[in-house]
Amino acid sequence: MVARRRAPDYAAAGILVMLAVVIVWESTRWPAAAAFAGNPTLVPHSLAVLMVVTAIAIAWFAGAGMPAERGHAGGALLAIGATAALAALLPVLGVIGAGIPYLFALQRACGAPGRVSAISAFVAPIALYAVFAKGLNVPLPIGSLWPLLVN
Amino acid sequence: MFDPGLLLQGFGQVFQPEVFVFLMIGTVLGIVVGAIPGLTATMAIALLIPFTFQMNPISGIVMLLAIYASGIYGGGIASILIRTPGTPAAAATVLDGYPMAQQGHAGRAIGIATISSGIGGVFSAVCLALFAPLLATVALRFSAPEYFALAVFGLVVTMSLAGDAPIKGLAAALAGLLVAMIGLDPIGGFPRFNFGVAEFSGGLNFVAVMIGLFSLSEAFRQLETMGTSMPVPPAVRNVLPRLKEILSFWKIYIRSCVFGLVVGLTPGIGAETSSFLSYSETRRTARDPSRFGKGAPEGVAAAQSAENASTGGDLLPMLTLGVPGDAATAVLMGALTIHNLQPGPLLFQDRPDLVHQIFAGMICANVAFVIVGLVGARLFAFVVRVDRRVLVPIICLLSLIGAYAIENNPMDVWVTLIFGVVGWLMQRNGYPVSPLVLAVILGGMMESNLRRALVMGQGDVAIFLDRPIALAILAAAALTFVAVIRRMRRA
Repeated sequence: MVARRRAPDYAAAGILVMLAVVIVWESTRWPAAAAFAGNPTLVPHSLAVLMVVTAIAIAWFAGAGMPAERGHAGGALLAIGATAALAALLPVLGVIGAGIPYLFALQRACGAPGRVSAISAFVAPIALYAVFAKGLNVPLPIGSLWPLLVN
Repeated sequence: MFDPGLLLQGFGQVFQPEVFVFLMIGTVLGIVVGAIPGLTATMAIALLIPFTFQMNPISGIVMLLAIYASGIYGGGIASILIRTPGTPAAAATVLDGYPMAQQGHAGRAIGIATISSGIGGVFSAVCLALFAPLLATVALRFSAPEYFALAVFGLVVTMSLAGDAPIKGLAAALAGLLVAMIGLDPIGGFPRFNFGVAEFSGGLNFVAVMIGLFSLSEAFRQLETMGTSMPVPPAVRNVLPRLKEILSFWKIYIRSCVFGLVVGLTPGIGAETSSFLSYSETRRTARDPSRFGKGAPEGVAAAQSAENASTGGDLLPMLTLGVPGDAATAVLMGALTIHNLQPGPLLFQDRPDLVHQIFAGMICANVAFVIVGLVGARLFAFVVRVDRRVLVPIICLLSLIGAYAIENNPMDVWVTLIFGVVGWLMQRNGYPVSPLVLAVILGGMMESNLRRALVMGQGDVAIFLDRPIALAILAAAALTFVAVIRRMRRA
């Protein structure tokens, strides 16, 4: 149990050390400090040092404090996967074309009733598009596929 | 300086039909979002920023201010009706609001909460209008060393956002500083940390980062903890409170307004702290403290008035110094910069008309939610029953659409998604996201001003010792750091 509570902190400490290494490695490719007013590596290198010190402190106090409230990750992971698919399809199918199947699938996966999901999945993307693209003149993706199909 | 004439003109501007419509839309949206548990005003502001691009700046800003003020108030509705705070700030309202509802006084509790929030909100907005120009005048004398010191102070205080684990807050803030460095070196102008991605050469889009961290990550969290049972709120009747009862709370209001304002002014802590502080002080000084927690109307009045009294205090350092006091004002600051308005003392010098319109908008927003809240109390009571299984996926869609709308750039959609996942993972493991966002904002300010200060001092850090204001702010930052670490060791 304790080991399970400590694991995320060890992971966070590892990520911080990794980021510190990336900062130092990246800064070696920058132009020479003398070319600029003020040393461009001063803040990044200070940040890298602070990251390593903080990583040590996190590892030292791993598992301390109140455990975070957690549910079942499955629902969130499903949503992340579906949202990644939406992000990929948005430029191709547009808000309406990609939004309707996305909403319907995700709402059903969350356990929403079929009829409510069908209606809201159909209405919401169209309403959002109408309000923002037409009403507020905020350009939203229409999708690159539809002009090809029409022509 | 504060200019009553400009403030009157500001009111005139806010009552222009276009601005007024968006004020009312923002008010209704804010109450609805605040009343739905799990959705916060910060989330709503982040989501709607991209949709204000095409509005004139004052319409967009007034709408977002209305969402902010009414969202803080709206959290109390769910606290009273279903014992679940609509927003973290409304947690203290549960203590007496819910017992009142259980005793059949749900309407009375909502009425007291609405009027109390309005009193606190208007007080803090008036204080903002009076004191912000004064502070801005002082801040006009600030130079690079003082701004660097302010940024350091703000970053240290953000550690306290992590509660009893400030090291985790520090880790989040350091990650935010790295995010702030992506793009161009602030003085040399060469690209850094863009890892070969051309779109990152100008830095990550701040609004896309905020939508990911505050909106999408919260939606993922909701999906993780979502149940199928719907809460059933009690009936809401007799919402309008008696004037005599409201007047009897005058001492509570004075204390709560002062608590709220002072807490709001302190960077890093916000409405939730002020409401608990005010509630506990009201209980401590009450003739019969045993009534509290069992449906004492004074408890609702204390919590709600302090909650909204912190809003003006939160806005003050953001508007005058460009240092946001909490997550919501950090997001509002992003909204201002999107409209080419850089918060800070120069904004008061260059655009005093607009600054006074913001003051007028804030005062009107606090009056608007009182009217809308009292008139629509029965309708808003139904909002707490909204099916989150339907709503949360729509928020996910809106987050991505909002990210795309910023610059019509598909890359921003991916930035939002990545930061949504990062924010979800952070919250899941007890790492707060607010320090990350504040560090993204303060990072650029800190680095560029440190380097300018060192140039001013010809490379000698003694420049900070020669400037008393900068030195005092850095000393305050050091003391705060020590206090936070001591608190962690005690915990």
